[in-house]
Amino acid sequence: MSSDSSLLLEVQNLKVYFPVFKGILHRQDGEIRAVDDVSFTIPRGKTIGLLGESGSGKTTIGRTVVKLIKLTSGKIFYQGQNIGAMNEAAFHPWRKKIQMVFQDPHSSLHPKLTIGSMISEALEIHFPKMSRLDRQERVASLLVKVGLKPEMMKLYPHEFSGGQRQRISIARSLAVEPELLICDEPVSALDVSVQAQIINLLKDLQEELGLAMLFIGHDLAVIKHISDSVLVLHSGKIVESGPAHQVLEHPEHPYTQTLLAAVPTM
Amino acid sequence: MEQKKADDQQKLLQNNSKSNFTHFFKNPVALIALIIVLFLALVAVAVSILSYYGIEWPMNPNETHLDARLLQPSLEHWIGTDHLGRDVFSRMLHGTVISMTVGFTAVAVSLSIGVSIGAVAGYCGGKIDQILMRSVDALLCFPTFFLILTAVALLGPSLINIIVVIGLISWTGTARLVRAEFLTLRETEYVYAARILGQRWWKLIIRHMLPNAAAVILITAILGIPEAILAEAGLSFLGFGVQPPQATWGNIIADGKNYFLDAWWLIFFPGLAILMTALSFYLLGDALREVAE
Repeated sequence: MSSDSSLLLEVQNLKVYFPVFKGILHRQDGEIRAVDDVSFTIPRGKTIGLLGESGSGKTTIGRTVVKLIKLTSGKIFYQGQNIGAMNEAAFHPWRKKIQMVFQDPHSSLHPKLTIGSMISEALEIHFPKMSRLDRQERVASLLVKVGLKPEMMKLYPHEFSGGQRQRISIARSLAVEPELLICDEPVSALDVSVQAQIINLLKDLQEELGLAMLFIGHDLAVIKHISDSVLVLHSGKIVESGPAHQVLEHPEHPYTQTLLAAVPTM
Repeated sequence: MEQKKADDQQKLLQNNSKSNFTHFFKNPVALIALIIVLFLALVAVAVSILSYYGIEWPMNPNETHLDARLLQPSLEHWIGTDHLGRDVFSRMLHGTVISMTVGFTAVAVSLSIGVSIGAVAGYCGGKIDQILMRSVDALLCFPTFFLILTAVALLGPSLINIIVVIGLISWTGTARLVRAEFLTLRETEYVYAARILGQRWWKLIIRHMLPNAAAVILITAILGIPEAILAEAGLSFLGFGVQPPQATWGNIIADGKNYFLDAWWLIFFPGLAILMTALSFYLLGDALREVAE
């Protein structure tokens, strides 16, 4: 455990195995090692890119940090506290510090709630004393912050485009004033032109709010653009890590080299 | 800036997804089924209000006229009279009240049990899910109607008992469907997002999952109504239902079966009523399912 106060998140020897059952008696027949002995740190205000192909375990890492998935072994420290070992009730106050933006803007918003009530729900949970009017004001300012209009809070998700939905998703996660934002491929479901807007929005917000980010993705150009340092994940293991430009320009591990070689050039 | 404009335009293009219900109303079968269902509900409400104020229209269903036994359908007795000279049309109107009451309330009972158990099983997963669903499987091993028959025979036949027993026994299908729906909903990203925000489990179920399973629940409810009506009619026919002289469609047929060679109307019209009612609810449920998909 580190006492360095500039460290926000520290993951030590994280392992997430999924059991495989077989037969009618549900005998455990083996396990899938989705994340296998992964360690990394996220400093305050920095962006760590998590690069890997599909099935490499990158989404599992993100979801384990926010306790959507139970870890098998290992430790997750948040500002020195082992959040990996906490139960849901103990973890509740930490929830607002770590938020997540999802990949698919079409399934990450409740289809039957207006975006205003969706965002103010986040406020209700963590700022129960806030008055209705204050909440509404806060929702409006959040919408402005992510480049939308305050009057849009009365609309439903299906009335928005993919890029706008992703902005709403970001506004919802920023509502509780997190310190760490886990972005699980937030742009890979969007058009290329919209991708750039969302990436720039995330970068601006990071600067403005001093957010740290764990940016999960498979797109080298996006990762290179946004990350300070990069982790390359392959079959649940980190095969290479270091500053973004170094890893992505002079890769040492053969897997990273094949990843880079697979990028189409024009 | 230009891309933002493109975003806005795309938004306008997406605003044409409200054609589902026009689709429903263009389906003539569904429309007829809906009209029949609404008509039956209206009849049931009107008859119970009128008889509450002591008005029996067109005749008192329990008044016997031994000089007017087994009369053919005529202008005076629209669907004839039975072996005690009672007006069958009036009796059928009162049977409608019983059928509708049993249909809607038994489904309300079975829905509240089925939705709660299915929701908990689907939301929790794991051991709780296993225990609940194996119990459902165990309950499904018994033929539903005979289970209802046995329970009513033991408890004694009364309207409340029938409703409670049908409700308590027929929730298994609903529980299975709701569980399946919840298993899917649990893995959607907006439910994840709410969990990450720290939303409580019961709020996750009520606010985030139930509204998105509402279509499935509504359809199982509507498809459950004819089953409850048929079960009640079957019980009444066998004499385990609402007791005579209170008229139900089932016991009108039961009374009429001894005279069916002489008085075909005694079983034909109540049978037709049961058939049309059940069919209408099934067709309505089916049409709604199509809309939902």
